[in-house]
Amino acid sequence: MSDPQTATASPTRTGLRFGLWARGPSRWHVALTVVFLALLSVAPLWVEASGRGYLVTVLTRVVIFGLAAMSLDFVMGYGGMVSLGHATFLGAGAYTAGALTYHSLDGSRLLGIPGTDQALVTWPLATVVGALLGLVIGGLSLRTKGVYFIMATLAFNQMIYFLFNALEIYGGDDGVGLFAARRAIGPIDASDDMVFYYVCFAVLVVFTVILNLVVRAPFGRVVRGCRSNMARMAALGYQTYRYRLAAFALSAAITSLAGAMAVTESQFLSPSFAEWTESGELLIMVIVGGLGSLIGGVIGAGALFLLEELSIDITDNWQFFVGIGLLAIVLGAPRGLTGTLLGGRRSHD
Amino acid sequence: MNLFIEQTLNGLQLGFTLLMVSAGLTLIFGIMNIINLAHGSLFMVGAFVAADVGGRTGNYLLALLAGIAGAAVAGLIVELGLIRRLYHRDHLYQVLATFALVLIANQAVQMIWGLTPRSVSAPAFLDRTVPVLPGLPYPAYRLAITAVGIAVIVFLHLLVERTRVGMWIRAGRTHRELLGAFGVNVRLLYTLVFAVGAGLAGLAGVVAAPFLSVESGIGDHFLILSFVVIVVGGIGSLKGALYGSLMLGLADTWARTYLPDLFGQFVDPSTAATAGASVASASIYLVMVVVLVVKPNGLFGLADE
Repeated sequence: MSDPQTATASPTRTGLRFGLWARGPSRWHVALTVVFLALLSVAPLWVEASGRGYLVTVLTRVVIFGLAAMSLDFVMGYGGMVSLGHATFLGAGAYTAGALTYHSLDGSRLLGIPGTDQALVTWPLATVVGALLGLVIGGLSLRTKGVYFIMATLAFNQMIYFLFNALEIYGGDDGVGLFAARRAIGPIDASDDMVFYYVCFAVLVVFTVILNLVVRAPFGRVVRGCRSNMARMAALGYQTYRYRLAAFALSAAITSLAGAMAVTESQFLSPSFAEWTESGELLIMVIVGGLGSLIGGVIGAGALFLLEELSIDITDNWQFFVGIGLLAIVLGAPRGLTGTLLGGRRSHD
Repeated sequence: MNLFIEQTLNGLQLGFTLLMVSAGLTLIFGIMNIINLAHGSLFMVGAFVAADVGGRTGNYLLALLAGIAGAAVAGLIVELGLIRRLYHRDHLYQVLATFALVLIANQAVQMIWGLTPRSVSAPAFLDRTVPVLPGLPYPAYRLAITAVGIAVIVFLHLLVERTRVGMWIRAGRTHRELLGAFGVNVRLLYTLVFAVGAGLAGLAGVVAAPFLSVESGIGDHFLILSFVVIVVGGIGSLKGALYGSLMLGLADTWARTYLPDLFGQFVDPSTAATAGASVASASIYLVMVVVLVVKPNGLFGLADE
């Protein structure tokens, strides 16, 4: 949708706007990213030292789902594509890694290929599967705009969810446990929760750097330009569809990797990874953390899992309160934690 | 042949149930330009209220009316309390706020009615079969749903095309400010349209309830199906909602009936049953894929939207 105000802006004003935005996300975002990652790097040591070692697995989930939320923020906050179907890719990654692990456990073959529980194989493969699926689903959904896009991504999400439900070999809608599998990442034995946390954390750091570079690179600027004014980008000669599709596929690939990591973490494969409410929860993480900040996705994941952990002893109905809190954020602090924290002039409303 | 007629009638019944959900959704979207994920929750409210009232009184008609009224009142509260604040917000925030409502509603029905699934039984006077053809008995209740669906679409068509309120609704789609300048209370109009849409979702919840187990989240699947209907049919178009619903209802029912047999001609029966079932569950989405490729704006959508 074109914004009439910017479309008719004078050349001077346009130049100014381009000048401001070419700097990319502010250095405060970089500072916040560094601080938050530093906190995450010591958090498991701290919870263990304070005698709450069981929280290490919660932190691992924060890192994994934070990675997924961050890649959703990439398409949403920078690309302006509101995807209500990112659980599709979470599920695709989980089923790629989970299926390979399952076949390695019972020694059978998957389409003629022997299974493996080696994460150095399953995780990259899940990433590739996610990218391909992202190309197909993104390619179809991006033919539409706005609300249609939201509905189409959600519909594909439901389709994939039902396909996973129909996979009787992996337990249908009950899913299947993979508890006997090793958590091996190359030569590293990550069966220890602390070791596994740091493996996941390293992956998160790598992709935080990559995504931050991508949004500042020429490619990222074109994608961001499409969010602000698609008609103008097209008039400048950019193939907007291809840029947006590439961004969507990249995001799908990273989300799929997160799905693979999640199934290695939980050692349980089930369609719930691809449930549509999971897509909604990723969206919540992005908004709670702050749209268009990348690290916000991880902060949002932290906030959500912390809330769940704190309230689970008090009430069974924690989602009720998540809903109330979300309403408060949408109506009261639409820029999320990061935006409110940094007080910048970013507004996506 | 009898199987085909029976399954076609089943498909029409599913299609008309879908129509009750998606017609309200498309009307709301068409006039207010708002995406409402909580529409499925209104379906759920209808089913739960009907289960509750039906369980207490044993009277189906009373349960039906209570279900519709319950959903309409819930819709009214939601519109006045929340949706009105979202008209001028980005679609992303509409998605988030209404998703929050879904979370709240799914928990709230568990807090009110507990975790045990409930059921609604078809009314006694329809709990029998009627011969639609000699030698082909068919459940009267399913026929009744189709009839109600037809009544709903005729009612909506007359409302939108033949009445003054309908004229306002059509005008509101394109000329919101002008309509207000003519002295029409646009806010009230929106509230009423929303309540009608909510009531229809509640109606769908009640009539579909005998085929389902009434539990938290039952409306979610119907919500997503009606999104598919809207993508297929085109946004804001009643005609699109009608054809989209019927196409999907028939596609789903036919695929479930015939695909396993069809696959059975090429592969062994157990593989065919599994593969057929999973392709059948994907059939309606395949219809959507075809439409997205051929007509991205939907069959009856406006090209410039």
